[in-house]
Order: sequence, then C-alpha cells, then structure tokens
Amino acid sequence: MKITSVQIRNFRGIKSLDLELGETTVLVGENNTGKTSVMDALRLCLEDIEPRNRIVFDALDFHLPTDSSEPTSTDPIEITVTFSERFKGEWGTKIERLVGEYRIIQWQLGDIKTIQLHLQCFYDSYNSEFVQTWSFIDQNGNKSDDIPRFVFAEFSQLFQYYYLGALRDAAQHFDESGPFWKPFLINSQLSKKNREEIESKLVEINDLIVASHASFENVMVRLRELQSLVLLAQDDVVSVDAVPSRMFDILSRAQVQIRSKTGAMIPLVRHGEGTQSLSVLMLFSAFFDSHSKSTIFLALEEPEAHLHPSAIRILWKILQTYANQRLISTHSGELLAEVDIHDIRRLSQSSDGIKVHQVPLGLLSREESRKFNSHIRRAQSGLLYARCWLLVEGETESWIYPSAALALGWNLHDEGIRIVEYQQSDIAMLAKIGDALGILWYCVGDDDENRKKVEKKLLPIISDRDLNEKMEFPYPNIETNLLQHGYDQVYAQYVTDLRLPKKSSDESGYWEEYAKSIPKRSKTKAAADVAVLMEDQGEAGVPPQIRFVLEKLRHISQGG
Amino acid sequence: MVNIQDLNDRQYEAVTRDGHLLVVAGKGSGKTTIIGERILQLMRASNDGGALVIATTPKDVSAIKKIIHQHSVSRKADPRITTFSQLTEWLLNYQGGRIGISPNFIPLHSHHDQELFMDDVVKDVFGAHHYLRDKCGDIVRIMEWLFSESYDPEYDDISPEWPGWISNLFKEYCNALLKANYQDSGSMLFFCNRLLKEHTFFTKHLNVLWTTICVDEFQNINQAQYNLLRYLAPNKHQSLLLVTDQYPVSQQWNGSSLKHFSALSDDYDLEIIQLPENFRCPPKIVKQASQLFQSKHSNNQVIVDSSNNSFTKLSVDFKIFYDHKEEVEYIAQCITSLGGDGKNCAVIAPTNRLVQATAFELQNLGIHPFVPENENYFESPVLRVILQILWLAHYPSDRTALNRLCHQWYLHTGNIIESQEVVTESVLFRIGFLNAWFNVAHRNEPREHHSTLMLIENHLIERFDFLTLISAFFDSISDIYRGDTHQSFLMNEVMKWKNLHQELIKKFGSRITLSDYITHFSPLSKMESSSPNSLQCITIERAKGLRFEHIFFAGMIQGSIPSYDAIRDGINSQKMDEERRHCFATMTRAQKSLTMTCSMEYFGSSAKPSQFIEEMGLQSITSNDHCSRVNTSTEEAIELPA
Repeated sequence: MKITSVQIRNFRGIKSLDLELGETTVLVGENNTGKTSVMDALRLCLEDIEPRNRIVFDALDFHLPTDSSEPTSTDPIEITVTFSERFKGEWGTKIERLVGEYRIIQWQLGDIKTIQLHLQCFYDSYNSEFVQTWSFIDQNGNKSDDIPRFVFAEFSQLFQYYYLGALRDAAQHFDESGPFWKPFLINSQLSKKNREEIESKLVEINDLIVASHASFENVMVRLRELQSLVLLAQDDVVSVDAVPSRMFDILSRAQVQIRSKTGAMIPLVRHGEGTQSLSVLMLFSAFFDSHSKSTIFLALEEPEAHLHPSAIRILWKILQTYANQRLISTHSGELLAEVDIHDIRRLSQSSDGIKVHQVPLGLLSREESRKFNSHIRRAQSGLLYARCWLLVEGETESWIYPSAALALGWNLHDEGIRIVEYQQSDIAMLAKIGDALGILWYCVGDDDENRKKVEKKLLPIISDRDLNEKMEFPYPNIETNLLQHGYDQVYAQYVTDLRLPKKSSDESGYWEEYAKSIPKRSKTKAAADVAVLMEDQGEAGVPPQIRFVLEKLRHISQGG
Repeated sequence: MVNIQDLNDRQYEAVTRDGHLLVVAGKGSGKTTIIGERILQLMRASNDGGALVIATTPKDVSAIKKIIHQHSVSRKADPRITTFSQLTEWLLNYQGGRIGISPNFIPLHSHHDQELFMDDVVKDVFGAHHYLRDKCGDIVRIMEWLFSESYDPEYDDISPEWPGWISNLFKEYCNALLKANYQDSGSMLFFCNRLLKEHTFFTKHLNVLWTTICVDEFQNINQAQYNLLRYLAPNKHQSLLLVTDQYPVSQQWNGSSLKHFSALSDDYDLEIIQLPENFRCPPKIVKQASQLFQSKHSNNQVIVDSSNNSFTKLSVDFKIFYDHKEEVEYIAQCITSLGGDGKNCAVIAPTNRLVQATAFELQNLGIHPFVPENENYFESPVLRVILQILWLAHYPSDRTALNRLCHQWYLHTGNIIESQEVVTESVLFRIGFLNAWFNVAHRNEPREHHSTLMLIENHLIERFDFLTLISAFFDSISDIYRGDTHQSFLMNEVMKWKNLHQELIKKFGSRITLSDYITHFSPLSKMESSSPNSLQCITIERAKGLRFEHIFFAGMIQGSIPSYDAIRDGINSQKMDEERRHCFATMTRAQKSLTMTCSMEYFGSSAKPSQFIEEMGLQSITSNDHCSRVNTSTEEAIELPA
C-alpha cells in the first residue's frame, strides 16, 4: 500500500493544493510556503482515524483568505488522501471485502486499486459548532457518508503514520512513554531466573539487561551507526544503563549512554543536539525494523537539523531504508544533492496561494538528466532553492551581474536570484526544470552566432510566451559592452599592444575588434577586476544594457 | 417466524449443509427463515466474505433483513439483500461509467414512462408519421422480451421470420437510453451483463466480495438474470443457495423460462433439498418422507439428521386394502373418529379419477367432501394439449390459457416453447396467441412433432374446423399408442372424450360452435359440492400450497404415483425424482397426522402399491389388521375403533 497523493483545501495558508507522493518525496520551498502545513494535514487526517472522535482541527487551521475572514464563515477544510496498491493485486481480498460493499474502491489504469480517504471540517452555524466528517470518495467522485465506524477502524489498521518534527529531543523520545522507545521496554524477554539475578546482583545488572534484552540490540546496532556520522569513541560506543530496582522500574528508567571521545559514558541527553537528533532517527529506524507489521509512512522534518553537511549525505542513504514511504522536508542543498529530481516537490507562494511544482517523469531526455545530475544536482543543488534564475553564457556574466546589481544598490542573493551558466550545460534542460519547479528564469546572451542556437533551443519550451519576456540579447558580446562603457583600462592590462586594433577608437567596429584581441584565458580575470571596479563606481558605472537586464530580472523575480 | 432450534431436520440441513444448494420450498415451508439463517451461518463460518441475497420483492427483502438484523455479526458488512432491479442499479451506479453509463442515470420504473420514451425513439428512427408509433406499448414488451432473453445484437440473430427492424430498433433504443441517461429494468440487466463480461476486474472484485449468493424464487428468473448470476457465482468458491417454490418439472407452471434450469445442473454441482410443505409438519413425518431421497435410486441423495425427533408416539402408517371401497370406508372411519365434519382433514389422491371415485364413495358413506372444480379434465398430457388448443382457439388473447398450453406441451413433448416468445410473435404480426404459438412451435420444434402441428394447421389455422381436428387427434393417438398396454389409462380417457363428444353432437347438432363445445364440455358427472369448510378431496396438484392437520393420502399405487411416464423413464430418471418430490410434498402437508392407503384393485383392474412405499421402508399393514393404531396426534394417540 502506498499513498499516491494528498489533496488539501482551505487549510492554513493553503487554498488548494494537490501533492503527488512517491516512495520518497522531498518537500522544498522557502519558509512559510506550507511544508509544515502539508505534513500536518497528513498527520491530522491519518494519525487517528475515528469518525466520531474529537475535532482534530482548531479555528486557526481554517484558510482565511482576507484579514476580515472568520473560521465560521469560510469554506470547509478538506483533506483527501489517496491510497493505492503498489502493484496489481497487492491488497488481496481483505481490503476488498472490508470496503467493497460501500463502493469506494476505484480502479486505475492496469486495474490498480485505489481508495480515497476524505476528511472535512466546517462550521455548522445552526448548531454553532465545528463539524468534522470522515468519509471515502467513490469512483464517481461522490462522498460515501454511510460507512460504518468499524470500516474506518479496520482501515486504519492497515498502515501507521509517524511524524518526526524538526526538534528531535532525545529526552522526549527516549522517555518511557515515547512511541518508539516504549515498545522496546515492554517487550522484555527477561526470564524469571534472570530477574532474580538482576535483583540480587546489582553490580552485574547493566550487562545482564543488555545481554538478555534482545530488543535493545536493535537500538544499539542503529545507534552504533552514529559512529559513521559523528565522531565518537572507537569501541563499545553504546550501552544501555538501567537503574536497578524492580523490573518494570528498571525498564522504564532505562537510559541510553553513549561513550564520548574521551571514553566517558555520557547519557544521550547530555550530548549535543546533532547527536540527539540522529539518535532519535536511529531509534525510529530500530523501531521500524522490529515492530512494524503494517505499512509505515514517515513524515520527517528537516533531517539535516544540527548536522554537518557530510553527515547529511550519509544520513540520506540510511533514510532510504526507513519506513515504506517517506515524506521529508528539507532546506539542505547537501541533502538535495542526493535526491532524484523527480522526487522533489517545490512549494511556492504566489498571489493565488501556495502552489506545488514537480518535474514530471519523461520531461527530461536521458542526456538532459545526465547533464542535470552532473552540472546542477551534485555540484550546486542549492540552485533548486532559488526563486529566480538568471541564465548566462559564462563566467564573465557571473562576475559582472552580481556586482552590477550591488552597484545599483541591491543584492541578487537577497532577492532569491541565482546565476546559472548555460554554456557548459544545456539551456533547454535548465529552462525545462525551471518551468517545472516554478523557478522563474531569464536568459541573457550575446547577440552573435550563438543567439540562433539559444533561440532554437528555447523556442519549443516557451512557444506560448513572448520571446522577449524570457530572453535578452543586449550586446554583441559582454566584453565589447564593457569596453564601450569605460572599462577598457582594465582590459588594457591583459592585451598586448601588438594585438590591439589598428583603427582609431572613433571608427565603427573598434570595440568589437578590441574585444576579440582579449586572450580567452584572461577574460575571467579581467571580469573579476571589472566587477570590483563597477561596485566601487556605483550606479554610474553600470552600462545601460546591463542595467536594463537587471531591472527586467528584478521585475520578473518579483512575480512579473 | 421460526427459530433455528425449531427447525425440522430438513430445514436444519438446508441451513447447515455445505456446497451449492437448490432448496425446493413451497409455501409455508419457512423458507425466509432458512435463507436468513443460512446466510448468517455462512457469514459466521467464512472469515470476511460477504453475502448477496436476491429476493423478488421489496417485501421479501425486508423480511430477510429482519432475520439477519436479529443477530449482529460484528466487524462485518451487512449482507446485501436486494432485488435484481436494485442490484443492477447498484452495480451500474458503481462501475457503469466503464461502459458509458453516467452514475446518476434515471431508472424508468413505470410502463407509461417507457412507452413515452419509446415513442421518442421510434419517431427518431422511423419518422414522425410511422405506424409503429401507435404500437409503442407492444414494442416496449418486445424489448422486455429481448432483454429478458439476454439478446445481444452483437452476437445473436433474432428469428428470421421477425421483421428486420427489431434488432435495429433494439440498438437504437439502447443508444437512446444511454444518451438520455435513462435505464429500464431490462436494460440495466443488459448493461450489467455487458459490464461484467467486458470488465473482468470488476467481476473478480464482486466474486471476492460476495462469497455467498442466494437467489429466492429461482423459478421466476429469466435468462438475463441467470447470466448475471453466472458472473456473480462463476465457480465453486462461491456458496450458492437457490430457493425455488417447486421444481420446474411440475404440474403447474407459471410460464417462466425453463432453459436455465436445465443449464443449472451443467453449471453447478447442486444438491437438491426438498423442504416439507409446512414447517409444523411433525418431524416423524418429515423423516419418513425424507427416506424417499435416501433411496439409492434418488439422484438427490441427502443425509438426514435423525436426532431431531421427539415425537416417538406418532406413527406414519400405510395400509393396503382389497378394493377401493374398503379403502374409502377405512378413511371415513378415521375421519369420523377425529371428530366428525373433517374440516381440518384432507383426502389427497394422485389423480383426478381417484379423487372423483373416492369422493363418490365418501358421499355414499354420508360424508360430504368438497371437491374443487378442476380446469384440467384429463390426466393425459396429450389430451390436455388438445383441450388447451381448443381453449386458446376460443380465447385468442388469454395469457393464462397460453401459459397452460405451453406447459402442457412441455409435459407432453419435453420441449420448451416460451410463452413470452409467443406473446412477442403475436404482437409483432398482430395475430392471436394460437396462431403465434403455432408459428413459434413450427420454427423451434423438432420434426417428430410436426405431424401434430400439421393437424393443427390444417384444421384450425387454415380453416376453422375444430371438430375434424378432434377426430384427427383421436385417430393419430390410436395410431401411435395402439397395443401399448401401459397406455390403457390414456385410451380410457380418449374413450371418455369420445363419448362426451358424441353427447355434445347429439345435443347441439353437428354444427356445434366451439363456444358451446367448451362451455358444456365436462367429462365428469357433476358432484354435489359442499362448502370449502368441509373435508377436502383433492389431487396432489390441487393441494399445492395447502396444509391440513390430518392427511389421508389415498390411492398410492404404481402408475398413479409414480406415474406410468415416470416408471417408463426408469427408476433413476428425472421424472421419477420429480414424482418423489411430489410424494414428499404431499406427505409433509400434514400438521398432525398422515395416513397413506391403497387397495389392490381400482376400477376393475388390479393394482400394485407404489414403489415409494418400499423406498421409504414402510411396513404395510393389510386391512385385516384394523386393530392397529393408525392415527395419532402430536399430543396423544387417538384410539381408533377396530
């Protein structure tokens, strides 16, 4: 069983959002674009399915479109979760018989069965109270309201939904009431004889507990994996310590100790936040390995919290083994570097509410995928967090445009704008990914023989839009433009007199010839010098063509 | 309503036995209880499989629901108890979209709506001034017939004699229904069957969902409904419970299709359980009668639980007398000892002739039995066929007469002519039922019956000369059965008719009208009949659906029960089994006591006791042992005078 999608209506900042879920789904997006709302919507809908229980929402969960909106008069909150077979026939007869009489099974292509669970909450003005209903959606899109309670109860047995927030406090999770720790404590396999020994031999008690309490072993194995992530002592990294008393007491107070670099055993809760956070993740993993009987969905917020970048990359690999299906939110470029582009869901805030973007399967050719993986994903996955891309030819532009912006008094990074060089990569691939993920983009290039190539590549992608809205070719080449606007002094350092144009600087074609005389290897260096100079000169030093591009870019990045 | 602990052993068996069951349950046999209890039983036994019950009317639906709701089976969906119409609507609402049916379609329930809609279709297909627009009512009936026959224009041809526009109109009608988002009950079945045929994932799902399937009044379902049942219960993984009020090879038949009954035994490995005609029938009687099915010859072998028998005092007796008079005297004695007027008693005999003779003797003994008028004057099927043909010639649009003719034809020839098809034929060609019946018979019947049909054609269809037809029939019967000693009974009846025929000719002259012939045709000397409150003297056939405290089953001889036809077909034949079921049904009409009798001589010929007596393992007591007790009530034994 898997969750294939979740539809959210009128929940917090979300007016309407349809999110497709894969085996692993990674949510990215700026703060306040609804990542936590998506996770909460799923949690409220799935954690405790009981049709007549307490209301899971509170008044502030309603989407309030204007500042005068009241929860009592807005549209109902609706959350629809679609469950599906992973392959034809996966569900067997049990589910079919459980829900078949209520006509809520839907068949998709290839006879894959799906079931849609629906949660709705609205204000009943007649009775002056919030009303919450659980139901299923049938193939015709209608809600089935007359489903008996036991169906929900049995249905909820088929899966478990767990949520691990960004703040993973070890003290809380390794508590006797922690949902993942508790099962290990309860599942004691101590024999009576062992217990007597424990009670008589206080000295040996720790070892005994650890040795006879097999389920601890899982936790310890997982916790030992910490070693590969954070620096700890070489041997005997983990031990479980118990306070000797009566058996249930011992277990409820079982404490995890981790040997620190100095060799001293220190309780987990006294370690740093990073270690604690990881320990909780490992605990969940151990729990999943030894206690899961049904399908487990894990929603995990910011697994990178408090972790060193290289630890994050290793952690990602371990996360793949967690649960049957995972929904992960992250702000980490390091983590994204490990993620398949198709698993990414980028949330963005726009004038008509929060939107979700993804790269559909088949959008990129094999070659494009390869280029994306090598140029963007592995090297600069942080680009995927940008709001807007300025696609430029090469390094010169990468130097000039940020400085030109600074000279004009604004910072590209602050605006969420990142510069991407397309000459070494593939402009079509970048444009496709930008469009798919909702990253705005604007392309600037030289008005030379390359212009045709660029236009040819972009035309199919932007067929329905105005070419000028997406690209600009303001100068024959950027060096010529800079030379024309007083930066010839900088370039003079890199050009030998011999190569300089023979004609006078008043003649037409002079600066073009000058630009051609600049050795290729010096261009970048010169650009860096120009950039510094331009920043010093301020507004006056920015050539009008570059200024034009930047103003347009700013306009685009602010939503057109 | 009955509780499960009150069930008799055969009812208990119908509730608990494994496998596919065909339960033959007449009126008052507690069949609703059995359906309810069996469904509960199967639902408890299977872990999570659901049940589907298809009843005939919404009233039956609620009666079965009531039983099931008395016992809650926890954590399980309630069984779906529904009618065919509701079921098809439900299925199409669910997945009809797959074959282009929008889920919010409107079912046309009234005939009037169907006719109005048909008028639109006819107008579109044939134009505004076409004569068929006046025939929409008839066309709707034709469509109903085609739907019920599971006709599919893609695969089936209609009869070449029928006008070609029928199949075209059928297609247009289906398309128009889809377009207008309407359905009628026939089309819902039609589309359901298409849905389940084309979308096997859905069919498989339903098979997973409903592991127990029950159809009430199975004898009434049509071919299309049977096909739907085949999709719902394709194999042995489903447990099937079919309930029928009679096995179709019976003497009264309501004109529904028989084809799927014959298909049934090929499609499923069925056990047949015959229920007592009335659930208050003492277990002792039920047990005794059940022996019939245990006989090694019976095809429906069943095991009867004999533990459920507390009426040890009660005896089921069989007595043999020297002649009929003595037999009736004994019966009269018993009736008198039971308290006089015998209004809670019945004398049941296998044939009309025996009933008449017995009633006559009883009258001589001062008991005035009520003998109901019988529509069928003769016992022999062939004579009944002729009589029904005459009847239909006289009342050319009498649907009941047509049903009877079709049924008698089936009993006579073993071939099925669907009365519905005859009606359709009649509507199409604007001809009477008799002509239509003839056309259908001519088309469908094997050559061997064509000579009979030719007689009808020559004397009744081409020119109206029923008197010649009758004599021609007599001649052909004499030709066929001359020298066949087992047919002496038939020859007797023919003689009787001949005598009557002559009397009528004498009275009305040789130009007697068919009307006079039929109204005055009565082979029986009129019996003084008293009120239905007195002792009833009836045939097995007549007793259907009735029950009595005390039953005297007279005339249990070979040739009557079982009939000669059954004996001729052999001890393992279907007909013989049918006779066994008749015998069982008659015996279990009794609520308190049962006495079976026969004599060694009837109407001057010697007779042998019925083989069923031996099959039931009954000890016969000859008339000399009158002193033995013959009759007991469930409460206490009644001493009878010697």
